[in-house]
Amino acid sequence: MVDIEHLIRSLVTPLVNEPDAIQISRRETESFMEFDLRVADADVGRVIGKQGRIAQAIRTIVYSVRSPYAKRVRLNIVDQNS
Amino acid sequence: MPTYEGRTLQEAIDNGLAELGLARDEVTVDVIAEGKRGFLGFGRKPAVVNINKIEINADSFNIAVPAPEKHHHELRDDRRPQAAAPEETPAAAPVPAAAGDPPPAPVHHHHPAPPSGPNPREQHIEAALAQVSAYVVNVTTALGLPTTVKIEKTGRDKWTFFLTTDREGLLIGKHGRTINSLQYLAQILFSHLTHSHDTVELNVGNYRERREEILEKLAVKTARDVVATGQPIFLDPMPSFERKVLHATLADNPYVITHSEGDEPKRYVVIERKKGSVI
Repeated sequence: MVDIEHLIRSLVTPLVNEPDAIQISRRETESFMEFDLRVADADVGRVIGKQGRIAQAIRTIVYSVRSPYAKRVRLNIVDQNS
Repeated sequence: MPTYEGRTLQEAIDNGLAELGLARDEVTVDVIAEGKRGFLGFGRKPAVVNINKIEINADSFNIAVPAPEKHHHELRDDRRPQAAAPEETPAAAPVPAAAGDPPPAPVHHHHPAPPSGPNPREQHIEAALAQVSAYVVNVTTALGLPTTVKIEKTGRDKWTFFLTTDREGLLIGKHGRTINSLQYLAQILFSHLTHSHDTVELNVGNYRERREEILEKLAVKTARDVVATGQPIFLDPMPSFERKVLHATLADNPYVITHSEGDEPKRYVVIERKKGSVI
């Protein structure tokens, strides 16, 4: 069984400047198990990337694992400025 | 003399170490047979190594850190990830090369490291490679696919990470989606750490070679169809390094021309009839 939160953390931590500011919370919605990723304001760009390419790559990897929940996994990157 | 077999050198060494219950830095390894991957199960030969325990006092190899220059890259590559991620990756930790060893030359012989001295820039790149390698090991472990990584310089500005894992297919993903994403992240991390323009490639088993072969065949077949029908053919989106294979394969073809259209990451190759070419 893959620990999704641990996976997200290991993907994101080396990419940011403030690893201590990483927060991952989980909530269940109608058809997804949603993981909300929060990073320091200055690091948001680092996990999203130009045209969202880094975010896309992270999602591709996270979604490649079989969901340990009954629902599909979804990864949201929360931009606290907006 | 105890010999051990495995599909790859790394595996043969791992098998031997597991059987002996020794760590990599407690033994010398002599390669007896390199092993061949074969094709479709033909021509496969196991790698065979000879492993002997070294009888030296334990602290001697902590002192002998300046490695023989030729093995420089490999030593660093193997050692650092362990230091960086000791608790997370016990199973996946790459075999550490013993600094105190007499150079276990055969193990390194397919490592085309330039025999240059350890200049600061090179050391910097090596430290970054080790960090990227630790990243790859951590992520694959978190994916439930523990991996061993071996880094080689495969071009003037290119570093290839050879990943070995039990379930290659899961790590590669459909059309290489998963491994390409991880490669992209590894590239980002590497560029960020070094500010260099070197390329980082992740290879799983011989996936990249297999893929290249498939793309070459696709190129030839598609070109034939284009010539037959006179209609251009638009291929599926591919990453740049895969499009490059198609362009390169058809560059010398006198009857078709190729170009790419669309925006990354959905850029695709178009193959069309070369105007004025006569068959």
